[in-house]
Amino acid sequence: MQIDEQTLSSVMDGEGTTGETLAGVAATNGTRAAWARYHLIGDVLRDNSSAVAPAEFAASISALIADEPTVLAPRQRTKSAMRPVAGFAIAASVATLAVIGIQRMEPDNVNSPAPTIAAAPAATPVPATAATAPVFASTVAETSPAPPELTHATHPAQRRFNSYLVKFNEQRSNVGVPGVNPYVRIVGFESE
Amino acid sequence: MGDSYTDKELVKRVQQGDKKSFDLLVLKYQNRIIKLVSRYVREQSDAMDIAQEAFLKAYRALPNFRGDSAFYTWLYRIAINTAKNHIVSMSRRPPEAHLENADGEAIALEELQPDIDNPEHLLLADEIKETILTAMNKLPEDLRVAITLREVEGLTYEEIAEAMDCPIGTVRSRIFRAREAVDIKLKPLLEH
Repeated sequence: MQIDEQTLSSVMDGEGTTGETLAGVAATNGTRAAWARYHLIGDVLRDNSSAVAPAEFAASISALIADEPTVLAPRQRTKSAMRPVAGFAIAASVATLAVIGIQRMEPDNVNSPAPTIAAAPAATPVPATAATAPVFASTVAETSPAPPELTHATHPAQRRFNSYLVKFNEQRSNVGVPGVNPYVRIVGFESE
Repeated sequence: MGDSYTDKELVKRVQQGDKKSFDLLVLKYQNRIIKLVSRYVREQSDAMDIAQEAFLKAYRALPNFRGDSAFYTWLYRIAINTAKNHIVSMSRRPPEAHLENADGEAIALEELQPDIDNPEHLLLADEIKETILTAMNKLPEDLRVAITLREVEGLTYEEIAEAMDCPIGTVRSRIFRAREAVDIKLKPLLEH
């Protein structure tokens, strides 16, 4: 592509620049020389003390680069519309595997709570305020105080339900099947 | 658009294997890079050597250039690092380093570098600057203002059109005519 000097002037300012016009500038010695002179004019206008490269400077670099292997940048991957979905699928798979893994490990863990329940010391009296009666609660799986609603386990129905859960857990654990789901809190209680 | 857009296009072309486009980047930035590294070394021939090495390093590293910063900013950092490394290596180098040619004769390293320290080149550089500034002063005002806004202030054609209250086409024409008028005086000096 033949480039006239007016086009060259615009191209070097980034006006109407395309890959094709730049290829045209680079292709001919005359246009390349004009490109260098126009830039030299700009350099001197910006900085009166600008260096002036000897004519052979660029030629020597060009000769060195001719001996270099051609550089090729790796192509950038285009973003696929499926990428977010694929990411979600991977995250979901990892989460599922993690849950299964925990559940498989659970029999050992579940076996131990039962004796712990039995061996657990008698519930520690919770200091009561003057207005409330003492409440007894101890937790098996954790040492933190039970949430307030669990302290109402003195209700017969609640007590019965808790017993049922403990028994169910023991039974299931004996046959090697995970018992109560790990997130179900088991509460031992003892009334005075 | 601006000349950074032109740089991006040139870089893209080099990354696609077009070595000639790198010549345009060298011709565009050679004076600025030589001036930059001249601050680090006393000898102008050393500055030439470092500038040459910096361009070569830039070419080799270009596949990894992602365009996060402007090409000149990236090149500037390479040039400064090359200059610093050069200073360190010079402090370790024996005072008189020589290479041998095919006949086993010693060649001073300075003989391999483009000659910039000689009085002829220094005189030519001064003449070039004087010629450009004289030609600029003789330009009609509208041309001088247009090219100053572009080269010194870095305005885009659109901004210049707004500042000079004229169409973009007129700006394009004025800038080209200014360059052409200065180039007519400059070209004979460089072809000498």
